Amino acid sequence: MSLKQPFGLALALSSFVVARMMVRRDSFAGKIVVITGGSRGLGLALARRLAQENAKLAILARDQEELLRAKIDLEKYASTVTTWVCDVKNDSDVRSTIEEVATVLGGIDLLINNAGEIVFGPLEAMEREDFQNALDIHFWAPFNVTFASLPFLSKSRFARIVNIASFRRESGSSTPSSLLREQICAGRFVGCPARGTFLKKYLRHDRCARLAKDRISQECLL
Amino acid sequence: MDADRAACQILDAVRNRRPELTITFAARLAAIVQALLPNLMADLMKLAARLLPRMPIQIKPLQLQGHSDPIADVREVASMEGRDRVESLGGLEVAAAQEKD
Repeated sequence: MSLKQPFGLALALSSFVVARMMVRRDSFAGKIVVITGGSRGLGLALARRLAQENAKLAILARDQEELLRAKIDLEKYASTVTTWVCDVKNDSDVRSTIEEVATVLGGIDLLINNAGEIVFGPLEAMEREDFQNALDIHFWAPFNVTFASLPFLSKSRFARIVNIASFRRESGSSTPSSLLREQICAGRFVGCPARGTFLKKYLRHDRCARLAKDRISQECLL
Repeated sequence: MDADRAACQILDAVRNRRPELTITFAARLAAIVQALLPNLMADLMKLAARLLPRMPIQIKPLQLQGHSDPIADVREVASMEGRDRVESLGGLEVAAAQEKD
């Protein structure tokens, strides 16, 4: 009995691994992808890759000029690219934009919460507004966009959400400034456990569980 | 790591429904150390914090916004709060501007 158990476990594990390897790799062709902060940086790099694979893109950003530049850059790849001026910190703005995106493109298959800001500096230089702003962009912005997209995502068979955060949400950081992006964004708040638990619960477990129930898989990227 | 390589890895993770991905080896190592030895990580962070430079003078950018001449404002704040420290550091533009007057 005691000898059989590890064998069974190993068998189950290896069959799981083999099954995962055999699963067909999904293609992004024809998928409708929403990228926040997609006019530059990592967002633009993701958009480029997706455009190469013929995904239908909706790029959200605040700056009209940057969006135009991104659109010209992405149209080389001959895929559908739409750009939307939207401040993801503003809930009503997000709701109307996401609804419009879904009606124009015909739904949403993949949401990439990429928009973010990095603010660096010693604690003395930080104002309360800096922390408030960090919460707005790294907590409320993905919250707004995710909840606005949920009705459309739940209708999709592909349905995935990508959250981009920094690895420091796990490890903490030496500079107080990094509280701003890293710890707030996906949960850990050094020196403020109560709040940390709330955020962590909300952003990771609670939302994950709820989304899993709706067959939406959540990718949390560090 | 450049954005394009990161994007490639992220999209692969999305394709394969990987729930979590840590980009760059250093970040992965740090995440593992944090998970296994959280106190060691906290000590390392403490050490790193000690090595960071201090702020030389207290300048609140938000307080300076209403004035017309930012250099004069900086001078004023520097002379009020941290002139001695600025001068002892040397080479700072603010201090140099004050010497000229």
